[in-house]
Amino acid sequence: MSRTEDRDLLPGMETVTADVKEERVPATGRVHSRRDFLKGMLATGIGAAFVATGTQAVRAGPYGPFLAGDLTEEKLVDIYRTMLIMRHWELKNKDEAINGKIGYPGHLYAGMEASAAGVSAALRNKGDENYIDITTATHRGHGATLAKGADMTACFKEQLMKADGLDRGYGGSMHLADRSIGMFGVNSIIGGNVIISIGVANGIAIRGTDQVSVAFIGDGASQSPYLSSALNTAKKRNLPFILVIENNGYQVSARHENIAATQDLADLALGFNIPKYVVDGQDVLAVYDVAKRAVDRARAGGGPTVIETKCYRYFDHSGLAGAKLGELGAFNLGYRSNRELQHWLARDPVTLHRRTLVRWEVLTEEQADEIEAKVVQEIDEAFEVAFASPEQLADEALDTAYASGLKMPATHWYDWNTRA
Amino acid sequence: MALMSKNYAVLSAIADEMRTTPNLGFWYQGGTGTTVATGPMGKIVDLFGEFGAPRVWFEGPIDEPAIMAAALGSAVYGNPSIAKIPSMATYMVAEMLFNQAGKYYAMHGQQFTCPLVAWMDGSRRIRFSGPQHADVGWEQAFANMPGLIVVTPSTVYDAKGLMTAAIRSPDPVVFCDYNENTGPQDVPEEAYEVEFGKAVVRTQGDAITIVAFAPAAMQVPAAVTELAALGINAEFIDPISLKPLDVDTIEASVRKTGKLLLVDHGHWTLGPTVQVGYEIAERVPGTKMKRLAYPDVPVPGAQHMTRWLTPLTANVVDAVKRMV
Repeated sequence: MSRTEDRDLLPGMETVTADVKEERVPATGRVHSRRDFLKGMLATGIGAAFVATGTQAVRAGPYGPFLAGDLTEEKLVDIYRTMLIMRHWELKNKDEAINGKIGYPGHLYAGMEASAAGVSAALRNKGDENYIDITTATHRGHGATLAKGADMTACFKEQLMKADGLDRGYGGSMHLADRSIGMFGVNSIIGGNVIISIGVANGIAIRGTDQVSVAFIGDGASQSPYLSSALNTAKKRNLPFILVIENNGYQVSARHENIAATQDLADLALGFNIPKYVVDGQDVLAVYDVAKRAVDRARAGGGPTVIETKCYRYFDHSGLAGAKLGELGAFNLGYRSNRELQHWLARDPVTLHRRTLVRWEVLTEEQADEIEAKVVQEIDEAFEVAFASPEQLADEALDTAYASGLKMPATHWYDWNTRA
Repeated sequence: MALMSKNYAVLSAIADEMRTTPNLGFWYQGGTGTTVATGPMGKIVDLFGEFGAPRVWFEGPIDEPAIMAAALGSAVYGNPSIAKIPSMATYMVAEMLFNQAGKYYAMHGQQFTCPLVAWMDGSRRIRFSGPQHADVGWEQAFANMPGLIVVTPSTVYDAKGLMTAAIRSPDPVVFCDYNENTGPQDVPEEAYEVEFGKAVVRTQGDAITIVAFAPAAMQVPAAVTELAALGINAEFIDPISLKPLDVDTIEASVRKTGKLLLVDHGHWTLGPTVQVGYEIAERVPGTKMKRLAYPDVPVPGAQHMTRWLTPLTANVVDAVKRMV
């Protein structure tokens, strides 16, 4: 069985079903080159269908050779572990919010892991400021932050707004940022992060480095006026910029097709003559595949790309409506059916990637279980550490608004020239 | 020292910093006109000609949020940046300054500085401008936004020195550049800084304290001269920066004169000198106080109407005569 075959079709999309045979090619079960891969395809008799029309294969197929096929085992497992961290961090966040330990869980990313994990896998996530790739994210940004490599304890601390959180308690869920890994901020102004990422790309152009600037947004930001500003600038100035639209189908509780003029939001790119990819957002390797193309192009001076990942969020827009302790997904929400949620859960991105790794014999079921158990344990420990960590001094904010050290008086006291 | 126009002085301040700061970028819309000026002895400063793209954003779009955000993103990435915004579009970029520039340093736990200069081209209340192109006073909105520094130079010397200080500042600075009739003035040719939050006592006197910042500050010197001829020695203070605001200098003056005239060219309600008035009322109780401002109406197109509504030199003289 080849690497592309075992990913399922995206619900609701045109399908050309390949007659997938449980037959392993080549003998090792591993594909080492494009040639081997194509040989394998032909051998299983699905090559023609795949190349000509592709569907699931399609998700990667039309854009060229399957680049995720070249990932090392280490990298593939690393992606799996990253997705597990994203998933279980969010579930822990949700559960502790239900338990009352976290005041508000924010905008849960669960269900959309393949988008940020797939894109971030194609980026440089370590290195100095002239090397590392730089991302920003929209308000649903826990996933993008963890996928870039942020420390899960520091993320919990910030979620709890503790003194040694990522933002030292100044940001919280909607402002997670970690400069050291090139995560330049979750931004809760819809579309705002997009033009900031354009500015970062401008900064990269000024320095003349080969870094790439990536903005993650949801479908809701795609109608922001900032989008046309951003895409025009990116194209005209040939900037190393990638826009990732995580289209989870809903803008708060309204379906995106009731709002957006186009079914594929990546069509935004057409008016600016920017290359675009529409990809199965349940399939982390399909996302990686197109992200890799976009990153390589940007790094080589080829300019911007728009990627749309078709995905789904398991929980409500924000908060805990429909969420239950220990349960994945928020059922009985007024604006969507339980069957719709179950349908997407059946193609869960974390499970899908795990299944791929097992079928590729990168991991055994037991090894996959072990990795997951370890992640769950680490996350439980991380939360306990974060929960016990100290809070910020209440009056510190007066002294930390300006980098130049300018201090603001405590004007809320009767005698406001002195602090109480 | 050399005689130079305000535009030349500010552009030469930028050019000086661009020569010493490798990644400093400049964003604006339109063509070369914005970045070229002729100075003393026929010297020319030409930012695009000297530094080129991508540091100088030649022919940027008429899309102010894009210009501001481009500079802002480059700034948080670590490159000091300047965005020039035309006068009628200052509120177009308010969101970028309010929710992004002013908050970036604080909200991400001091991980990112935002060395951004928002060079806001001030309008003039001249003929044919009309309501959308002739409004002034928007600096009060930016002064209300946390995390920003707001400067309002009214002389060529202050404009040049504040621009240099703004570029070197790790914090976002809104540089309000009012194009009133500031003729060429004698200023140093080399780079220098004017400190934020230090008001300047332009003329000393003991009869009354007048506080006005650009562009109203440009109306006051003539009034002070006229009053001196009448034997009234007014002390004129130009705060230069609205945030931080130097109340101490004004307080010291009011303790001496006991009277305070505040002049705003912006609209009446909640204009910046209201802040000065409040702080002095609290610090120096019993101060005799009066405020002049532009009424709360859109600026009419007809010039005689606009002139009548604006607090000009004659209005300042009249007010002082009634107060002393």
